[in-house]
Amino acid sequence: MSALRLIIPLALLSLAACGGASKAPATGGAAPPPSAPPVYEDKAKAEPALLPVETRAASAQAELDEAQGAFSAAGGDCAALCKALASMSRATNSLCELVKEGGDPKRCSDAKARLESAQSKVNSSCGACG
Amino acid sequence: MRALFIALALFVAAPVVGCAKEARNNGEVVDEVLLAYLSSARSLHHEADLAEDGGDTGKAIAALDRLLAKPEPRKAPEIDEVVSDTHARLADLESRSGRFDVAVKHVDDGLHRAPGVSYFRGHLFEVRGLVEERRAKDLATKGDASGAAAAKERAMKAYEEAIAIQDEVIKRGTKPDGDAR
Repeated sequence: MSALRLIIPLALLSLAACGGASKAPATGGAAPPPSAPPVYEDKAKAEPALLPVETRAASAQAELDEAQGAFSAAGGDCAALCKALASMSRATNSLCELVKEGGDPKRCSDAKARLESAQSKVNSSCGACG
Repeated sequence: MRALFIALALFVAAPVVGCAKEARNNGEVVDEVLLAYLSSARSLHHEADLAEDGGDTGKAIAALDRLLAKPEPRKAPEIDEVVSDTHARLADLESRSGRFDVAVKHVDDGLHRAPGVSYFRGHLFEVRGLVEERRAKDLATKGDASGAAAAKERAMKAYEEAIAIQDEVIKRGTKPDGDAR
């Protein structure tokens, strides 16, 4: 079941990748991030329809880029990161077991510190691995 | 897990087929052969899963050996990943049966197919650690204390290498502009 949960978004991403090949960019390339017009101090009061069309197009493009990045991170990238973390965890456990039988304890503590740091990075990017 | 990995490989390759019309329009060859190879690899890993579940290690090894014997349609990163992962699995299976030198050869062959920093390279070092750990236990049982100690040290070094590689994979994949795909 978990495989299906990964595969379906990946399939959608694949379709999106194909669709992207033929679509024309709305702003003719890499759009700069939109800047709020200086007349609006409170962004909530800004009426999007009153903004210049180029600004709205750039904003939409930036939102699309952000969403695509998040979608990608939730699919293949996070699956790969979780696999790497699992491998790292197994290697650390095995190393520490061997150190217990006789070896420099620092080798185990260094590996554990590295694992914790990696775990923190993956958690912040992907949430907990399944 | 293997089936999941190969399913992921298939989906990485899916745009090749999904964009088939565009590829034909550009006069490029549509690589359906690559997808057929990956599909066949998935079937053989599944066959090995079933054999392992039934406790038949020899049959699992035979299925994976058949996969390695298959002609590769062309050079492709997806194929390198499948082959290196298959070598890792074979190294694990062979070492369970006490064939440590065959297992180490599989690890070396797998590393040859995964030269850069990647999950697959890190996993191969993890399996090398496992192989050497098993060898150390085997030698200790046979009364070869110095051989066992040497194998144990090789195992620890391999585990440390695996940790370093996977750590690098994670660092690259979690950077704001990183790319672990």
